[in-house]
Amino acid sequence: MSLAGALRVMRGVSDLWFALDRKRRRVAVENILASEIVDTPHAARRVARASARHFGTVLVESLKSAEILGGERWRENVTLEMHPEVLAALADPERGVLVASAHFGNWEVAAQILSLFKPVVGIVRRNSNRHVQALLERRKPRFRFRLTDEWVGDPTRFFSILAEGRALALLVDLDARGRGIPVDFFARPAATHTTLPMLHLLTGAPLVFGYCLRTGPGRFLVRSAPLVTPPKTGRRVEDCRAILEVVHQRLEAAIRSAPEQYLWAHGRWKHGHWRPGMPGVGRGESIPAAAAGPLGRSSR
Amino acid sequence: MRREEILERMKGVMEEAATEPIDWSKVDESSSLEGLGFDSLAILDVLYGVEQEFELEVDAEEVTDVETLGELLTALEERIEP
Repeated sequence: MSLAGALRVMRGVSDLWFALDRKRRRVAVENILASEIVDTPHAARRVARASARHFGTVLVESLKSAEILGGERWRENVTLEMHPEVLAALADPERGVLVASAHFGNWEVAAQILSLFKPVVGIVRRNSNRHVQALLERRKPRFRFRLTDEWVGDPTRFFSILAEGRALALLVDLDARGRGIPVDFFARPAATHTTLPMLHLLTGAPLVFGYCLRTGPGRFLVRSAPLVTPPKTGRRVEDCRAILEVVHQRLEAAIRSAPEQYLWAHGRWKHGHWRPGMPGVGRGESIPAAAAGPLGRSSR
Repeated sequence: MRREEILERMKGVMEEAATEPIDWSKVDESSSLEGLGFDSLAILDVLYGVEQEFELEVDAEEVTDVETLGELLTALEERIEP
């Protein structure tokens, strides 16, 4: 099936999914309202529906990525807006790079485009849906991009990946459950993994935040700002939080530019001590003491 | 600092970073980090805890091939002030 045909079919499937999956729809609408990107439930529902359709295009365009990016076609379909610092870091074959992105635009295509510059390993959480997980495991690595499970295997393999000069890519907007620190996301504390800042602090690998915005069917804009380099204090939680705050600020700015391209239907604030509908924390108000400290034992 | 003392302090660091209950009386230098439940994320907490506990900077390249607690001790022992 052609890309255009597959996108048409997926649009219908996405609309059906949006109509039937009440739980995800409710989460998406609540999250959009909590972000204050729009201020009415009607507008939030419109963004949520567009987000559901966008997620469908992510699936299709990821599956069709060889068709879109293969050979030299990526030059026609991808526009690069990358800071010279980032290009220099990616061009150094001896140096590993940490790449932070999120469920925004097309993160799968982003990693594949990144792999044109440097071999990429993406850290992923096992999918709770066994069918999706099976699909992920069956997929062959594309270009120089492969995935690794965050929970299994050699505990120090992340160091090896960076020492070999590869890029290690992580999505920073996963709910960290009890294993992270609360970092504001749209002015609400969200449990956030410390893996990214810890790897940066321990290895000194350059830290890039970037994303791949969809600009049309099979067309993309890959964008990255200067390297993330907040001042370091030597105190773990403070340093991790400072790094993640910069990353979150950049992510928020990106989402505001195209809110329909963000995956709102996942529970980003599920374990951040704050959830949509919970009273007491609003924009500009202070965070309760319970939310101000680290979460869980892994965040002293 | 004696190796046994470093091991005991290391256990304290690891206890804070552990993600599941561990019977520390059965842990010795031959214990595998992975076997103790330290995945790639938890090991980062251990290494950062080591930096704080012993006031040193861990060189990531030195611990790349570490699999057991003893190997981790050996990698760090020379760096720890007596």
